[in-house]
Order: sequence, then C-alpha cells, then structure tokens
Amino acid sequence: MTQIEPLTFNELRAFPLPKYLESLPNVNLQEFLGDENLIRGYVKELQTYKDHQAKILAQLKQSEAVLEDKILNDLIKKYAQIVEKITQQMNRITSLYQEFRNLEMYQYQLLSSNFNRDFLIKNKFGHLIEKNNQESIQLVKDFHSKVADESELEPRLNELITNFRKSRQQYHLRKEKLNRWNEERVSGSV
Amino acid sequence: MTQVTQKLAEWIFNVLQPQYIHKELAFNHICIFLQRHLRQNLNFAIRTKVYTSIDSGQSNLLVNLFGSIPVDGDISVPVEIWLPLSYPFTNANALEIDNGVPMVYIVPDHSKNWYLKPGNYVDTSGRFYHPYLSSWFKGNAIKPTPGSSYSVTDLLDLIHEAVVSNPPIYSPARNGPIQNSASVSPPAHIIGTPQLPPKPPKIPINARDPSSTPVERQDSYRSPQPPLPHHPQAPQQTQQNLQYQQSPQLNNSQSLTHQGNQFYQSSENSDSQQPYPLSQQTTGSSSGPPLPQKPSRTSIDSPRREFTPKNNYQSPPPFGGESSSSGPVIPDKYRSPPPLPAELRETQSPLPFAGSPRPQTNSNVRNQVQSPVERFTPLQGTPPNSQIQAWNYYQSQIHQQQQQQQPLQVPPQQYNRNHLATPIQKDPSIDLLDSDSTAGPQVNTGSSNEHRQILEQLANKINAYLTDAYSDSIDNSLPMVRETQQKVDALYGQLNHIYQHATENSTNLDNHISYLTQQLSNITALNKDLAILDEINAQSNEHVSTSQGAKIHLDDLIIPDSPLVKQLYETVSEIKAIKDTINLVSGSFHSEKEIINDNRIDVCVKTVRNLGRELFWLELTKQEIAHNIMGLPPR
Repeated sequence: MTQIEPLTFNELRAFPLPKYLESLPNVNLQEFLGDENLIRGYVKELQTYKDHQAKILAQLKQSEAVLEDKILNDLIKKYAQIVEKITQQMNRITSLYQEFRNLEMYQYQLLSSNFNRDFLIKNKFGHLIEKNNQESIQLVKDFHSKVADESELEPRLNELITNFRKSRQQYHLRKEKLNRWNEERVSGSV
Repeated sequence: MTQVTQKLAEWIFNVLQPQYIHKELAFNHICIFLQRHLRQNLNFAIRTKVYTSIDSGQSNLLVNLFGSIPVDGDISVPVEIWLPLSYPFTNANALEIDNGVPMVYIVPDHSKNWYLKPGNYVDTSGRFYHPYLSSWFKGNAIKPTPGSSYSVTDLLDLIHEAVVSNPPIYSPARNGPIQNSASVSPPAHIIGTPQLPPKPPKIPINARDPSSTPVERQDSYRSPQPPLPHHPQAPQQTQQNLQYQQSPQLNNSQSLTHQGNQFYQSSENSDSQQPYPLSQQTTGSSSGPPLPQKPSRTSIDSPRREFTPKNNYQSPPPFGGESSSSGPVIPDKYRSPPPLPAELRETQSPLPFAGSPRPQTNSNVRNQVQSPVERFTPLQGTPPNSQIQAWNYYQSQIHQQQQQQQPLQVPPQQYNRNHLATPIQKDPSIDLLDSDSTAGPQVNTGSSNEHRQILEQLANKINAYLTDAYSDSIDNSLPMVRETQQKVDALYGQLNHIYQHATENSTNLDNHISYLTQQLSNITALNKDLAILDEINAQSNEHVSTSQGAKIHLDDLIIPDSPLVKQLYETVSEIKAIKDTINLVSGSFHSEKEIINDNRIDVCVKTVRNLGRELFWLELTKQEIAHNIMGLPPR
C-alpha cells in the first residue's frame, strides 16, 4: 500500500471560499476568522479533507482487516492446528522412542542369551568336554561289562584301545582349547 | 472601469432576447454603457419598465437606464433613457412604430422639492431633445457603420453636457419658484426662465395629465411619470436641427402635431382626440407586453426586487435584423449572450482597428461632443480604448463593412473638466440587481483589500491548523496509522514466516515418525529372529546357530591362533590320550579295573609297546615344535 502523505494546503483546496462564506461581510468574516472552531469545522467539511480522512480510515480498516481476517481468523487457527499436530507428532515420537528402548533392551537380552561367550559358549564347550570324558569312561565300562571268550579278546581290546585313544585325544584337544580360551590364546568367530 | 459580471450580462441578454430586434447591438451598447457608468462616473443603473407609447398606445417592456447627473452640490438631474425595441435603428422595410431612437426623460424627484424647468433641451413633459437624437442614424434605414457612434454612451455624454450647462431641475427652496404654465408639477410662476411660446391652437391639450406615460408597473412611487412622448424632429429635417437647438419648444409643438396625426391614423381611435399615454389599468394585463423571463436567482440577477413579471415568455419572437439572417439554428432562448466587449478585446486581439482612434461621428452637431473614451481616460486612469475598439470590431463583424474614417482627435481635458466640476461618485451605490444575489460581493477597493487580507489570514490559519502538531487534524494521526500499519504488516509477516516454519517442521516430524516406525519394525523383526535363535541354540549343545539354517560347530568356532599351535595342540592331546590309554591298560585310569591280566598279557604288552613307541615320536615332535620352532621355555 502506498504511504499516505499529510495533506498540504494546496491539496486542501480551501479556496475559493464557498459562496455562503464569500458573500459574508468583512465583519462576519473577521468573526469567522477569530473562531478556531469555525475554521476547524470549515476545514473538516471540505471534500478534500473528507477524502483524505476517508483514505486514512481506509488504511486503518485495511490494517484491521489484516489483523482480523488474515491473522486472527486464518493464521491463529492454522497455528492452533499446527500446534496440535506437532504435539501429536511429538507424542508419537516419544512413544516410538520408548518402544525402541524396549525393543533394544529385548534385543540385547536375546543377543546375550545367544552369543554370550563367557557364560553360554564356554559352558556349552565345557559341557561338550565333560561329555567326551564320560564317553571314554563309558567305553571302559562297556569293555568290562562284556566277558568275551579268548578268541575275541584281542580284537575287542584293540577296538577299545582305538576308541578310547580317539575319545581321549578329542577330550584333551577340547580341554586344551578351553584352557587356551581362558588365557585369551584362541581365535575364531568368538 | 466596472467589469460587467457574467450574470448581469446574462440578465441583459435575457431581457433583450424576446422582443428587441438588434439584440446583439443593443447588448453591446448597454454593456459598454454599464462598464463606464455602472456604480461609477455618472452612476447609472439598468432596469426594465413598461413604456406605453403615445403614438400607438402600445405598451412594451423596455430597457430603462436611469441615474442622476449631479449639477451642483444640491441638485441632481434624474435621467431615464428608454431603449426602444428597434434600438439602435430600424430597417427600411420594417413597420416599427419606433425608429430606434432612445427616448430620454428628465424625471424630477418631487420628494426632494425638485421641479422640472423646461429649457433648450427639455420640454415641459421632461422629454429631452438634442440634435444628436434628431440625427440618430440619419435616414432611419441604414445600419451603423464602424465609423458611426450612435450609442447610449455617447448620448449620455451629450445629456451630461446639456444638463450641466442648462440644468432642467430647480429647487424652489434655493432658487425660488419658477413660473411655467406648461409644466405640470412646478408652480406656475417661473422666475428667470424665458417665456414659452404659445401653443398652436389646433393642438388641443388634453386635460389629463400627460405625465402618466410611460406607465411604470413597479416603480409607482416615482412621480412625476414620464411625460408625453414628444418625438424629436424627423431625421430628414436637418435644417431644423440648428433651429431646434435654439428653440426646442417650438419644435416640440410641431412634433406634437405631427406625431399626433400619426397616432390618430394608426390607432384608429376616433374617440381619442389627444395622444395621451395608456396607464397600466387601461391597457390591462392581457394587453400588456410580455415580460422577459425572469432569470433564476441562482444564476441571473434580477433588476429590481419589486419587479414581478406577470407572464413569462413562452415563445419569443423570431430573430430580426442581422441576427435572423446569419444567426445559427439554435433557438433564441437557448442562446448564450455574446461575449462582452472586454471579452471581445481579449479573444479577438489584435483588432483590425487597433491603434486607430475612435472615428468621428457623422454629424456636425457632434463637433462639441467628446469621445467618451478619451474623455474618461484621465479620470479612470485606464484607457478604455481597447473596449471601444472591440466594440467597433464587433460592429464591423456584424455589418461586414469596414469604413475607416478620419479619427477625431479630441482633447481629453474637456470632458475631464466637465466631470471634475461635478464630483463623480466612486463609492458603490446600490446594486442594480438583487442584493441577495448569490453572486460574489461587489466591494470597492478598500473593502476588497480588507477582504483579501482576511482571506490571507484565513489561509494562514488553515495552513497552521494543518501543520500544527497539537491540533486535532487527521494528519496528526498519520504517524500512529503508519506505525500501526507497519506493526500489522510486521506481525503478519513474522507470524506467516513462523507458520511456514512450523509447517515444515511438522512435515519433518512426519518423516521422522515414518522412519522411526520403520526402524522399530525392523528391530521387532530382528528380535523375533533372535528369539527363534535363542530357542535353537538352547536345544543344540555342540552347535551355535546365527540364523535359521546356519549353525556352527563349537570345534570350528574355537580354533588355535595359528596352524603350528593347532599342530602342537593336537600333538599334545595325542600324547595325553596315549598316556591315558597306557594308564587304562595298567589300571590307573579313573579307578577303573586294569585291562591287563594273565589271559591278555601278550596282547596288552604288545599294545603298550606300540603306544610307547608312538609316544616317543610324539614327544619328540612336541619338543621340536614347542622348543625348537616356537621357542617356548621348557617346563
């Protein structure tokens, strides 16, 4: 909007005076001249002054219209809507975060239960070594439990020696690995 | 020179429109007359009055120029100049009764104890005679030429000259009674005046007062009424002019006789033996002349407030004279008045007569008449020559004849002397027109200066009111209005900008929510897989599963650091296995019963021997790897 400039005397076009003033005697004109209210009233009754006043009022009304229509009725409502939407989004994100924390914790638990080196794998490996040891003992007990004749003695003894030797060799190998694992002297995927 | 206002000009033109034949000529004559004598100089004014002709008995509403010519400090000569409808001349074929010659009457004011004194120029009825009037457009059928100057302006100059030199008014209180048998109003005995010649016996003087003509409709207070019209001599009687000038009364009588005959022939009134004027009552309103349409108060000034025309003009007569022949098609009542002489000067300058002095009049009786232009020049201070030139130019346009005549060099001192003898009223007299007119005030110079000063002061006060920062002018609220507007614009801009940001942030939040939701879904799926793997790993003792279908054996999962170490581990574990086997055979393995006995001694010895041999080589290999290759310290 163009800026309104103050009304100048030339733009006011106060002269020539209207006929009802121009035709007054000088005495009455002097009286008119001496009364500020009359002069003020005359100026305010001029069409140019009224137009100027209307222009200013129009600008004020336009500002008011911006305040009311664009800001109050439009922007403020949009603000309320966008604030509510953002609040909902923030709440949603908060819930998502909380859910993420829960899932993360659950995932850690799962990972720990599946791939824990110290407790799960070592124990599992230890159980495997113990299983080999029991297997060797079980071989000896089986040999003694079966009484065979003299002809089958040598083959059964050789079989026992072979199986027992194999079982003990796997047993000592795993046991050696476990010992070295404890000493951090093993490698692998673990 | 007084400027004839536009409204007065319009009024004059409206008055002339209906009946006057030479409207434009009469208009210009009147305007020039008023420019010179309206509220100044001889202080004449204009009005319309009903004039009843003694010749035809016909009443007409004529233009009446009236005023008083001061003779000395006590007496003024009231003069009325009637302009006939055919003013200033008649056409040759026209049958007008009047011949275009203005009629001049001296109308004494009896209320001031002024009475008429007949003289060389004035008869007992107050009618003024002069050779200038007798020779008025000699021939009565010619149009004025640019060189001629028959006009009411010049006529008034002659009247002024005549009444000053021979005053037709006397005051009994000062001069004593004057015996005049023919006079109506003054006493019968007139002292110091020449005895009037006896009237011709064949002219019966009617007992009725002839001063009842012309009839004044509105100015009834004016008495005596204008006298019986005594027409001047016929224009062709040029030889009588000088004689008439010396004894006008005699010529008046002759004129009366002549005019009376004419009246009887034309009026066809056998009962009337004497041409006396018709009053308003005798003529009646129906037979009265149509009055011009009174101009509206907002536009045209009326001549007199008490003048009320009884019937307006509905259909003005057609144009006559030069106006009808070459005039436009526009009806008369819609025509605007021609430009004033002053306007002619402005619009048509340079004039073809510019620089040429006023032409001489066409009669020798004008030899004593001074040009009013030159005579008024020293008095007015501004030469009115241009207006006369404009008038001459206007006449030349009308007649399309330019006859350059020898200019008359008139010494300006003569008229100035005459007028200086009689003080000229410069103060504004009463306005001819209505005083409550809406036209601008006509003030004199002093009042105008005061008026101008007041207006200047008013302008200063209005300007001060506009520029005063503490007044209640609307402009003082402009800063607040501007600030408010700027605040509103800034607020709207900021709010709109922030709203745009909020909208974008909301969009980003939507994107974040979508991403996080997707990630949470992935984590949930991963957790499900982990849960499944947890069950699988829990069920398997020798394997570790990383996914469904992918499981790793523990021996493959745990491997030595290097192949040499692996070989060492295997060698050592083989050594320990052989030793456990030997211990088993000998019965020292975990409290188990010995294998060897008497029945199996050979087989056991043989087996132990082989085991001992392998043990030797393994120990050797172990020593080689651990000490010699890897450099491990011996235990």
